[in-house]
Amino acid sequence: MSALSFEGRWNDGERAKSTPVIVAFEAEGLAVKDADSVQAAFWAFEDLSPAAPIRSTSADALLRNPKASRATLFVQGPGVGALLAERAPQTTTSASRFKILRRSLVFTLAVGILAGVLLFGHFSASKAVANWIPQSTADEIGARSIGMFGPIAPECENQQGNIALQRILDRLQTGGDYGRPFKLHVARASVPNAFALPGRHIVLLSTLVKQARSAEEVAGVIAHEMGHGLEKDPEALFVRSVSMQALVQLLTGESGNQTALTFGAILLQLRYSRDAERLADAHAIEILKAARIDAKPTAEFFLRNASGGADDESSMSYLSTHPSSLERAKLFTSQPDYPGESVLSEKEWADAQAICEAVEAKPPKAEQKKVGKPKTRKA
Amino acid sequence: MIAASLDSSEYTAIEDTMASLTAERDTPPASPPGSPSPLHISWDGNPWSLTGLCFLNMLLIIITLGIYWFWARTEYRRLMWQMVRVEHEPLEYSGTGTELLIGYLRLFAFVLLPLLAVVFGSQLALGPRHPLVAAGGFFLYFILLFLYFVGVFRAHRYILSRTRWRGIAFGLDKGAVGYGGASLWTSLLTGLTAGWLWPWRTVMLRRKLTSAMFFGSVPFKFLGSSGSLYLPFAFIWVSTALAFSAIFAIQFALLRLTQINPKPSASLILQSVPHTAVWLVLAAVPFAIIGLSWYEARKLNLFAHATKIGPLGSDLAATGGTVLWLTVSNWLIMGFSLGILRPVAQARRLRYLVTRLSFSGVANLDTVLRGQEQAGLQGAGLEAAFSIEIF
Repeated sequence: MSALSFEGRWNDGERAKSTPVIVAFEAEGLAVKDADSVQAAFWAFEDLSPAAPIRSTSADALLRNPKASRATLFVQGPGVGALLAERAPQTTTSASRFKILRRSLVFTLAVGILAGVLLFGHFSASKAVANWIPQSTADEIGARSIGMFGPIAPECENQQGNIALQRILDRLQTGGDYGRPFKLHVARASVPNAFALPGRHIVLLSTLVKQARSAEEVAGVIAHEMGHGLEKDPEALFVRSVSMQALVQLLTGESGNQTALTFGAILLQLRYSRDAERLADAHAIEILKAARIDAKPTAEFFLRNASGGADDESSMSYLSTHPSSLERAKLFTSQPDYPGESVLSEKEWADAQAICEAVEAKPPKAEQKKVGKPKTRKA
Repeated sequence: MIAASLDSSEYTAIEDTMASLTAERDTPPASPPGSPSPLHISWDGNPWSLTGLCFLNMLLIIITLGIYWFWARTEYRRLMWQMVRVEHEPLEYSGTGTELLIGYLRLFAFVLLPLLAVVFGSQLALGPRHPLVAAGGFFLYFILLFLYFVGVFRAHRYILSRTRWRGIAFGLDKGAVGYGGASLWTSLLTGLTAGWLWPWRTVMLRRKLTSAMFFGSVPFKFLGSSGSLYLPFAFIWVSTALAFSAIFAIQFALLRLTQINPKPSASLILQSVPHTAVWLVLAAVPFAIIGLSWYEARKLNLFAHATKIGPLGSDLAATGGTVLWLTVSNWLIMGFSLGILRPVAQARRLRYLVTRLSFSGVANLDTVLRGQEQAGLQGAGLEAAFSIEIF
């Protein structure tokens, strides 16, 4: 046998029996010869396709030829891999990997470009879906979320306080055309925070109202939450949380009805992007201006809370999920001056700050009876 | 095209040439052409030769954001199939990464996405606490389980249809829905019997799968029952039951202790925990592992012995000890490599099976013809999604 001839087995692909052959490496391809050295087939190198990518160290190779239908040729002998790598490089591992990799990288590049366009084009899939949520559904979701807060942060029902804070909201809403009215709720909690819920519900936590130094500061906070409502940020957040929950349910089959994952908790824990917060601040400035409420007290609120350590990202404070307080204060103080009118009277402001305190101060009736006049013995 | 027959002297001359050039390989049987002969299966290669490829592919998968994974998976399977030699000729895997990718995208678009939309839409429309949503979630779990089992069958069909030897393809007949249904109801039944139906279920499903397989024009048969599996299974069951009982006893003791003393000291905890229960847990775990290896070896041997390919029978010489070593060493390989060397572990398992497998009976390969070829992509996505292997 010559140096460029190897033993092999030929199979026509129609039966499982294979035939022993001699395979000669000629100038243009492989000549397949039977035992009588009669050439029975010729496969050009360029037509060869390996059943598995060949390495130069391979001592055998299973080859196909797409032009030869189902036939296979098994060639074995030392040096087979090296010869094939030299004369039919498309059969090698590196050639096939490069071909695949090139296509994969093109695909990856396309995905990267698309992702970049979506990212820098500020496209939000969740917001796109949120725009499709019917108003009634959004209202219902918001109302249910508030209901879920009941055990941990009950609503304060002091009438005078509610009236006072509602006056702030009314003042803000009448300054422009903001569509459907917002609804304000105040809940008792030790954390100073405020958030918007789907359906244009705004929740203020009592400590924030208590720590504010003026009604204008509270107005700035409410205006910011109105900004989120106008941008449908709460609805988009809801879509994201429900999608995640649905995905978990799909993967684990668990019902979404788990106490640890109430929507209120999710909405509190999930955060808007910094861009969304900046946009809400921009809305707040416009809303305050339209309502003729001075924006500077809001800046003081940010600065005061920043110096109090509320810029710590790990805290639950109002400012922990927002852009830097200094940045926000600068934004509000940089606004041109305009004539502002006082939002609430002193009494109304005092009522607003006491919105939750009135409930705490009043003991239950059973306790009142016990604390009454001591009984005297009858003579 | 090729001379269909050679005279014996010419054939012998070629065989001698082959023997002299491939001295380190097994000598093929010198049988005259055209007559039946026993089939010889062997392994040619080193699973560890995939190591460099695993790390290279990991890099490629990362830089292509995961898209290369489908081609990497195909490449591993091609190389592993090539190491399996029947009559010294390798198996061939003709599947492609493109098929896996398309299958996976179709699975995502036509199954996962609609299901996600239903779940999402119902929660949006009805709210998360609606009874219908809760019931739907429960129902969805069973749908997904059924789809998984159907997927297992179809994934086997995909892999088999892309596996060839001497150009003849394997395949799997229809029966995915029946397989899925049987898997589901036997799962429930197994749960109701505290697991005692597990060996019977395993063999029943294997029978369904094997009976639908074919190689070219030759169908497979499965002629076996689960009886021999029950002894090792009982061993596992009792060990596990003892271990769980002991764990409950320990938990109960700790609970009682914390009710009396909310913050017990370490010494008090040690005194309160029943020592017998602790020893029972420590003893039961290795016993359960031994039992599992014993069971696995018996199962593999049973499957091989029960499988008939036309006139051919097969046997496997797996033992509990070697299965245990293979399993533990593969865990270590995957653990220390953080899963990157999973293909090496898979190749080691395939090598284990191939080197212990033998065929009996005679096979007239002249009569094995090309059968129906299944070119469809059904099962490709599921194979990719669930990383199913047929060995």
